[in-house]
Amino acid sequence: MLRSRWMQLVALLFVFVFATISLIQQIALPDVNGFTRQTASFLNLLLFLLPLFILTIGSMGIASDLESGWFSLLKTYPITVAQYIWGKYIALLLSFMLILLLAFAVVLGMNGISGQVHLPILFVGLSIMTVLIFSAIAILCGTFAKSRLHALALSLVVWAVSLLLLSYALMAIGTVVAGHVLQKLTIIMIHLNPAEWIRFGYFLFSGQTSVLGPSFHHFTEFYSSTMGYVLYAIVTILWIVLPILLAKWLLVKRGRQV
Amino acid sequence: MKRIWIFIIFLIVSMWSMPQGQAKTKTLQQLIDQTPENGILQLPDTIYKENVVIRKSLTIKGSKHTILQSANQKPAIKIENAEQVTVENITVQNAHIGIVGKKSQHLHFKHLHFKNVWSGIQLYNTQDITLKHLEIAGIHGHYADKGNGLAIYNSANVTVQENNIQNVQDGVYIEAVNQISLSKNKIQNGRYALHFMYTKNGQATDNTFQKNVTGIMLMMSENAKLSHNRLFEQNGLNASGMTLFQSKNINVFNNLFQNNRTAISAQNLTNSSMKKNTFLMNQSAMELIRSNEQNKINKNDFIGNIVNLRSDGSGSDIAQNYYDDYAGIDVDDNGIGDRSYVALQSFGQWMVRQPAYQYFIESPSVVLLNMMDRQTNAIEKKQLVDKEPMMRSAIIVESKSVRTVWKIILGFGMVLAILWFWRKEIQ
Amino acid sequence: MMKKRWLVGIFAAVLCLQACGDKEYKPREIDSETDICKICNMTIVHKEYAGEIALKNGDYEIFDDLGCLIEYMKGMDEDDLGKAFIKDESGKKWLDVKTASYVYDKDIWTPMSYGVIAFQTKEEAKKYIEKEGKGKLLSFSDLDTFEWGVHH
Repeated sequence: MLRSRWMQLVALLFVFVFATISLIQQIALPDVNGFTRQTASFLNLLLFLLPLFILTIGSMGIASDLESGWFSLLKTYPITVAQYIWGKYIALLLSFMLILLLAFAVVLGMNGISGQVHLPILFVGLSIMTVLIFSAIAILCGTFAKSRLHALALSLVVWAVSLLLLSYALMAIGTVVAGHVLQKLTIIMIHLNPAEWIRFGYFLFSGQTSVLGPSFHHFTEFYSSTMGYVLYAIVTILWIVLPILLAKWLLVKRGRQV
Repeated sequence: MKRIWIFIIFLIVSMWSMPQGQAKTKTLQQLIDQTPENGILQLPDTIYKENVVIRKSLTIKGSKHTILQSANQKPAIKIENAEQVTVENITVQNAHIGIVGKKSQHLHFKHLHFKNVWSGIQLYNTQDITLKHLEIAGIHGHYADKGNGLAIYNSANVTVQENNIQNVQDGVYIEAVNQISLSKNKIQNGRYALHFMYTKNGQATDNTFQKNVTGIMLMMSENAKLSHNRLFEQNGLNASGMTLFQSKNINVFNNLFQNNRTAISAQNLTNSSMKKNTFLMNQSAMELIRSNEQNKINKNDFIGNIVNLRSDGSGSDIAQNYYDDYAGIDVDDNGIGDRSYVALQSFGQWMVRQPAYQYFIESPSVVLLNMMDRQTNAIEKKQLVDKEPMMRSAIIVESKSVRTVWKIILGFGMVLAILWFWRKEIQ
Repeated sequence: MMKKRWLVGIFAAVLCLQACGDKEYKPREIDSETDICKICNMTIVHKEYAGEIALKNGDYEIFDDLGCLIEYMKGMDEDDLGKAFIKDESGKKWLDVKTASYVYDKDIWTPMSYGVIAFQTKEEAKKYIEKEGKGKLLSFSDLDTFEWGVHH
């Protein structure tokens, strides 16, 4: 994984973007706790960039194994499909963790120099969660695809849908339906869209659920309780385990056909 | 064993003798009744547990530990039909209502301390009032179950200065008052810090409001001046720095709004102006509903807000403000940008109409939408357009720079370690 | 094929959610933490004066005072209105705004100081006026032309 040129470029990009954003945003303004444009742009950067790279690189990795016949070769070794999938997942995880760690280390160093750059611990946690969830989805995209190009296209579609298209669809629906319907659909979407789930996690764990407005007060109140935290953890784990299990099932099925 | 018995007997005896001892000293009501008209009553360090009524002119001065308690629903002090009453230096605690004044003139309350009260002071039909250096701390619980810190009804000529109010419903509730000036007050953790209703000639300057639902709630009032106030962290559900509703001739200037949910929400204002305010890092800086061209929004600084301006489609006079996201240039170097600034955002407008849209605030999809809006909005001429955006902000945000050695070492150490590990992996 | 089925499913769900609202209009409980008056933005801390409108699409609009509710009714599309409710004088019971009787006096305090309170029947309203020795009886149609908040 780490060997590819792609990865090195991604690492460079990440370090650069993280460092500049945190520097530019913080120098001009006082340090304030709460949901501000800075925290919002940091969160959006995380949600835009990380899934994009994880999905494309991860899915193409698997697809190329399948396309080049490497996977068929592997099957002659005493290795199960599950082991292969989990191995791929962990490799993807570790490479992105390393990149993130590098970016965080640079930000930390810059913080030391100027005392201006901040990286709240919550963002570190959310980045890790993003890597965990989207790596699993990337694996699924890879096994679903027929070729590397197909994998690339598929992962781009998944990325666009979860970050942009679903929200736009919901906003469009919101112009015609009643407020309480929009509110219910939004709650459903939060659970069905991993990007929204992570964004919701930010508000939940930073204690800023009031940003989401009064219509979501009872919903966020539930998730701020112990039961809610447990449910949040369960849904998060499901978002990791289900795609991988599905990927395994797909591969096994395909293995029988070949 | 014997000792314990003696101790218990001692306790019982002392409990018996206590009320007798108190009965010897006079009650506060007796003291008040004995004081001549316009006299001064100096109180010792005593705890009075009663409800008193004042119906004449006098001055009551407490000492350091003069405490008044009232365990019932009646006010601790009630003032009726009095010409001139001054109360100073007393602690009122565990009372439902601290002081009630009715149909009186020249009431002066200074250096009073209200602890654990449902409501501090309530005044009805009074004139020439001074409320100065009061400390009011309300009961615990939701603001819906609390009373107002200070409540003033149908009165005139009121000065409210340098008070410290927290944990009440409305810090100062003002209804149908003519001439009121509020300055240097600190009000926090309440519903509305100041709540003006049907008030004429009100003035609020140099106050600090923090963590209330709304800093200044001004409704159906006329001729108000709100200036040099600092409004921080009004950022809970439905929160705002100022909500100005259905009022006339309201001037809002030189205030600082920082980290509020909506800094100013203005609805149905006439002939009002908002000038030279600083909007720093609010979720929405200004919301204009049912506005008109007579309302001026000039020379404000919009810095670090998520949404600068939004409206329900009605117009206002917006000019010469500074916006940190203005992308134009100033070729003739007159300090005014050459291109108009358009604050119109489709998302901002939706939010006004349907509260459930709030969920999407600054979400990835909305950020992209705003970028597209900026392209399509270049031709917008009427709605939320500032034709003369300023190039420079009037304020300078100070930022301190601290160098932390361990972070530098740890940060760059980690970078080197990771790069070394990476190289090793590749080879 | 799959996609079509999905779309149909979503639309069916939306329609169902829409439809669920419009059988019978019932007032809903007011929450002081989240509810604010649609017109004047005040939080509802005096639930005993609150009003609400159940819209045909299942949404509720909440009001802190009868005056705000009437102002909203004047500006709204009559077709959207399901039913409008106002708390009665005791502050416990919800009344239908259109059939209730009202009493106005400038000394009656309400959250917006509009001074109008509601009663289920004309008799109750009359009894209140008798007992208090002041007040003016109003019907729903009078509210339309009533000048809110001018007595100050």
